[in-house]
Amino acid sequence: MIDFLNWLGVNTAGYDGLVPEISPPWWGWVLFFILAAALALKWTRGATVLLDSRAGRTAIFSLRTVVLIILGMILLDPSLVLEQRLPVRPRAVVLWDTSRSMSLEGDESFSRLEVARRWWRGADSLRKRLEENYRSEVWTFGDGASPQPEAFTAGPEGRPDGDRTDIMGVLRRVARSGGDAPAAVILISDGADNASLEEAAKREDGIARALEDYPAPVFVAPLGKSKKHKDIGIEKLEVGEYGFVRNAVEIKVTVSARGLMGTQVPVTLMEGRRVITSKNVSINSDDGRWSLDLAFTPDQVGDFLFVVEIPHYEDEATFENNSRTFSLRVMRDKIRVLHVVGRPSWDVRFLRESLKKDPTIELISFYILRQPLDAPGAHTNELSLIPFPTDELFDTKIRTFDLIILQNFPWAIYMRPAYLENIHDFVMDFGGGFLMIGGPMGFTGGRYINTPIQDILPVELAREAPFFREGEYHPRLTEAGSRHPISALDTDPQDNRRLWDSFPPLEAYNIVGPAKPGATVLLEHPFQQASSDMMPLLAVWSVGRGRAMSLATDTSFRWNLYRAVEGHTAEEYLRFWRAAVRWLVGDPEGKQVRARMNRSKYTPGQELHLRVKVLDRDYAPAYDAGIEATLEGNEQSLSIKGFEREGDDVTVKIDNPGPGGWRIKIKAFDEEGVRLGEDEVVFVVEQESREFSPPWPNHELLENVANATGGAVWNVDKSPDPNKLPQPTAWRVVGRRRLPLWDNWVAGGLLLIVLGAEWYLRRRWGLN
Amino acid sequence: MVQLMRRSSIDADTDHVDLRIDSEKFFHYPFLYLAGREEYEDFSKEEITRLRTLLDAGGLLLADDAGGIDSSAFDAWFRRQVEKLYPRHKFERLPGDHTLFRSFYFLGRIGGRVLIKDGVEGVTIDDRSPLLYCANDLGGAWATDLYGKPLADCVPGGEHQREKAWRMGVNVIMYTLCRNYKKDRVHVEAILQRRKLR
Repeated sequence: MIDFLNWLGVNTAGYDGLVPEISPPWWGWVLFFILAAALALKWTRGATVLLDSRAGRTAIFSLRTVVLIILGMILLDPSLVLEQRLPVRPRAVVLWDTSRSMSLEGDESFSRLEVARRWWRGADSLRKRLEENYRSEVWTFGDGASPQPEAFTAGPEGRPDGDRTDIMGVLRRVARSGGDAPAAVILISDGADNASLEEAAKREDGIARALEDYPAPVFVAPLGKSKKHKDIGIEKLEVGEYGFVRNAVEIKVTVSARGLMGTQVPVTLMEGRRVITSKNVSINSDDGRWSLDLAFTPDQVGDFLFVVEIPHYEDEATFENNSRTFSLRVMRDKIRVLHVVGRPSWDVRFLRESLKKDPTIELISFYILRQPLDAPGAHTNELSLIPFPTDELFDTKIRTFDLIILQNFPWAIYMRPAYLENIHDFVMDFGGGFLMIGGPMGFTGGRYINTPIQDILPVELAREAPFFREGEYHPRLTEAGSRHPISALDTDPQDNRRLWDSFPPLEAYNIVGPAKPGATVLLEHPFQQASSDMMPLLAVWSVGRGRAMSLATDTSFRWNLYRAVEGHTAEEYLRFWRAAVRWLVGDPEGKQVRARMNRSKYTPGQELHLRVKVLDRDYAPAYDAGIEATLEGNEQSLSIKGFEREGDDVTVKIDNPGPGGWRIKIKAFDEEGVRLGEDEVVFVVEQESREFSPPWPNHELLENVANATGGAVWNVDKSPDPNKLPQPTAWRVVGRRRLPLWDNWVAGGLLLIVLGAEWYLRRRWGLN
Repeated sequence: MVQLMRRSSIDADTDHVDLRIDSEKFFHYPFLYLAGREEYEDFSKEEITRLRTLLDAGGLLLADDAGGIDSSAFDAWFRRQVEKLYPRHKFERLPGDHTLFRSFYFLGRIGGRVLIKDGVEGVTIDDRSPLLYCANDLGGAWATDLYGKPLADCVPGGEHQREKAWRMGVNVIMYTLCRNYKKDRVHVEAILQRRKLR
């Protein structure tokens, strides 16, 4: 064609190609010719109606059609374009999957990645073709995608450690980068996609639709033995971060399995080595997913580590997915308080009402309304009294409570000594709260001397009568009491002291001994002495794993009733008891040692920060406190050192201990080495990876990618055929010259000639 | 009070204290017993306020018509005071399942020196009844001489009727000190079971 132009005298020197350039598409041209013919026909019919000759009518019609076509061609301006072309080698991209699933078994001897490397090194002819005819690039993908030019000859080095296989993402990325679209893509992968392409594969023709506009054929080299694979794993674990004590916690487990049809697989929930619950999954197909719910009811508050575990089966692809660890913070939905009372009184009545008003407290009350020697003068059926279920309360169900209150209660009449032992253990071992409120039958008057209860009280018991006295007095707030969360009813210490001073006087008290070492006195009697100190009226302490409080009076209701009638609200009384209950049950706000991590879940390598706040017994910051912290987990225990002060807290950075569930135990001591308190935090380090869920290859997905893009599947058992790559015909146009076909004098002349001929014929045949 | 201590675990002061509403010690006595035969001078605004303050803070008033007749002068007077004390609340007969009737004894019929009305009226605010009213002269049935001998006959039921009055007295004090304790879930089941047996 260029030669023909040369023959016509067009200078084509320096141009390598010629391409037509027409604006409308082909069907536009067809439409244009039909339209021109139709217009010419209509134009001709009226003008030639008097003409008998058929040949004459045809001639006029033809000439008018040609006129219209020439006019159209001039308007549409089709042209030829001469191009100066510079040949370039097209892009070819080799994509290596380096996600963790490529570390799994590829054949009998090597990992999938190693099998791929060996295949690639043996594919000399393919590499040669790529080197000679293409601009070849090598990329790896696993955690994102990056070019690896040095990997062209032997494939990427190192262990595959990517935590994501996003084939669609990497295909799109290489198509966009590099200036021009690739002419061919070679994808070396096991096809274990865990991103959008896997989702697309679930829909009919999903992959074809997702890749319908992909600019290059994708040649795939599938790795892994697709059919022979065998594995079972916990693909998904759904559980909240928080649970509530005595409320069921549900864990939804999704198990994926292949090659284990007919197996009953136990899925077990464990805390440490203790089995919490277990359920069997019936694997009833060769390849699939099964969901089950594990449920348990925690009976203690705190931070716990749990493991969901599946047994290891022979020849599994990996054991990494056979267990998952999670942490759970168990909180109280309600504080269960057992209130046991020796006899009804105003103090009982007001305390009960204040506890009942607190929606976070579930109050279980037992009042002794009739003592053995009382004579109600009625048959039992006429009385609304119920038996005192001591066995249930103080034995079988004792650990369902968070706090036990004994108010003016003479135990010996109603309880076996073993129950006092149970209360002692409830506090010391279980970590429960205990409160003794006075009255004539409280403390020594209730015969608690030489009982296990004596050991958990924060005060000594009086051994010489009198044990109970009446008469008004104003309790004195101690220095510790002005800061302690129970008695700090106002955040300002001065205002708090004024508030306590404004309280009405109390009118009776139990005589108790001095506070025990380690106990904190919040209120003391103004003139009654205990040993060399003023008698502790309100004292608290942490004992064993629990806490205890003593209030040596049964007239605190006066802080409510008498203040209320004086025009104040009863708010301070309610606040006092709410704070007391919360402190006694170890509410985090009342703890002297409070530890927290910057997160509850980490990935390997992430930095861990531990922050600890230590408060003295009077709740002032304990700057000189000694701290012992140990990291426990995976059957090891490491001491944590290097705490640094940061304001009122101390902090430390901890080396990431690696995957697993971990617990840090913190203990704090005062300057004399006496324990101030302890706390624990748990955390999980887990590789957030879906690479092994499931871990088997997906060759079907790869085949669909190849089919959707016009590529091919290369079996890694054979040498790849480089002839399947598209022929590199790419060049880049560096110069253009346009040759209009109709926008010139020839077209104008031709138009005049045809119009002239048409005019001449009409005149000759006598037409208008 | 002797009967109360003999029949139940409650420790009570056997002395009674006569109080004026405007007295300084008025607020130190959260349980009030008001009895009379006549029509008295209406409470002043200040007295009403003090009385309401005590009852709102947790006190309880038991009123007892000692007149011994239906629609006595005291009855009319007391109803006027209740209207002033709790104008926005209903003063009505307490339902049979009120805690008052099961706080210690199961009570069906109400005793007293006379039987004017079989029931107790009261004002209930939320779940508490700070004001109770009995028209059967409970105090008349309770009154004894120094030797414990009743001062008045109970008519028409005699000693059985007096016993009902004692029981009512115990229940009122139990209700005052324990409020709705007997409506706790743990008691409800046992009480229902006990009632089936009766």
